[in-house]
Amino acid sequence: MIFEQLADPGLGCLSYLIGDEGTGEAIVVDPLEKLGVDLYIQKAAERGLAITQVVDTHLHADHVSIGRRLAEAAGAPYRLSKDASVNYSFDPLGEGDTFELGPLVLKVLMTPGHTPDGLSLLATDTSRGREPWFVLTGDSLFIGDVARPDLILPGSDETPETRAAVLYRTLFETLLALPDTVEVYPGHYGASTCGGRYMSGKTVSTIGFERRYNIALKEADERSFTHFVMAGLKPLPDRYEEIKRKNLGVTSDRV
Amino acid sequence: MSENARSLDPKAFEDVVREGVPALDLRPLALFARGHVQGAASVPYGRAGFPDQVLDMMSPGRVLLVDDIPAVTKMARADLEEAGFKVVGVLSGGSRAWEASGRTLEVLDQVTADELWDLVKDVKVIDVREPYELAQGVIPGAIRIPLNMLPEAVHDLDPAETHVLVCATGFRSLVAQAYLHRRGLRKVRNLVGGMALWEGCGYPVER
Repeated sequence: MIFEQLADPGLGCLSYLIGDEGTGEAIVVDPLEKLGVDLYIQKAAERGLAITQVVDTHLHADHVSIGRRLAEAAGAPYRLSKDASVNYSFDPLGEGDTFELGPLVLKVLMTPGHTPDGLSLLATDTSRGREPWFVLTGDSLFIGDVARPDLILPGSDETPETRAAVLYRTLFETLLALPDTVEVYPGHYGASTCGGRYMSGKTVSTIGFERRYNIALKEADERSFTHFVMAGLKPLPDRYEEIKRKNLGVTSDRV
Repeated sequence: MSENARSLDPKAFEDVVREGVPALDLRPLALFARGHVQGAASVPYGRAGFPDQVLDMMSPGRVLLVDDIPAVTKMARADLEEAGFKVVGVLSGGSRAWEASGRTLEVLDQVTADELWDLVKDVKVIDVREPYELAQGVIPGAIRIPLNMLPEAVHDLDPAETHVLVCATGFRSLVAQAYLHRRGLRKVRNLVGGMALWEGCGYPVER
């Protein structure tokens, strides 16, 4: 297996290039504008891989996605959650869909909350063992803290509180249901504006360690969890409404 | 870059190939093996040494590219033109467009350990691993030709025979298979998973 975590330290964003040498195929998750389309293409080619899938784990609010451009440059399909409502076409992903890269299987888990279209990818390397090995959590569970629920465009009938309730179920019912040994690879780290104040500068952890020590996961119920995430909100990301609209594929002010 | 390379549909691409212009497939070898434009040569882009691997195959002249990965085609084209090649056309839509036009994709024939066990007496097995790797055992009767010695040995191989290439995991033997295929040996097959799978299946080895 080939696994590369590619970061934009300025914004605290993480992207992933995951592939299998045997089949020559790779998937890119949450490609970053800062790194550019050509970097992903070249990184893959240097490792003997062709990018055959491009996935965004959700519609980002802090950076303009290059997912669609990368997919076009790679001649690969662009994949988003079926729950993403955007003004362009994409290949939808639903709960339980899988990507197979040789012995590596990535399974889609729907993990909404930060956004309605959030998804995670649970990876099992069947050449190593039957248990899942790691999970790309996108914007849901971070190292030390969790994603924020309040990046909602004006005009939506959602509220930060309704999103926080969804995020609570994603964290406690979906992600914490995974074995302790599963490694967590998040979509953000450090000072990223997309999560809480206790996010670590470290870029990998495990479900077990976060279960014990993630401050947001210490809350006893949905109400206290919502209170916790709403009480500690950071300032909004720069130009987030504009960025979100670009990622939605709309240019006017209305969504 | 000089003038734009022509964007060709499968029919037009085929016509230029028939004129004798070599066509290059830039994808990783495993994808080439699973299906490629007939007659195309595999030169995976991005490994160190592009376009040297193309120069090893041919002197600078006219070439065609199969446009499977648009961004890679663009980068490879710039490298090739700098090395003195002239990219006279690209197959628009790549191998998929070729197949969609009703043309068949050529595959490099893969064989499983079970299949090889059934036909091992009727084929010539070539083990392309390095000498130090062979102490753990080889398939009984296998000829031993390390990968980098293959160019010297190719003239001794009978194109009428079926050759099955073998290495530790099936990757180097795939490289060997693509090479022999390009050198005109059409009856070459590759053991998927290599010796790891052969031994894992419990088939015998000789030491």
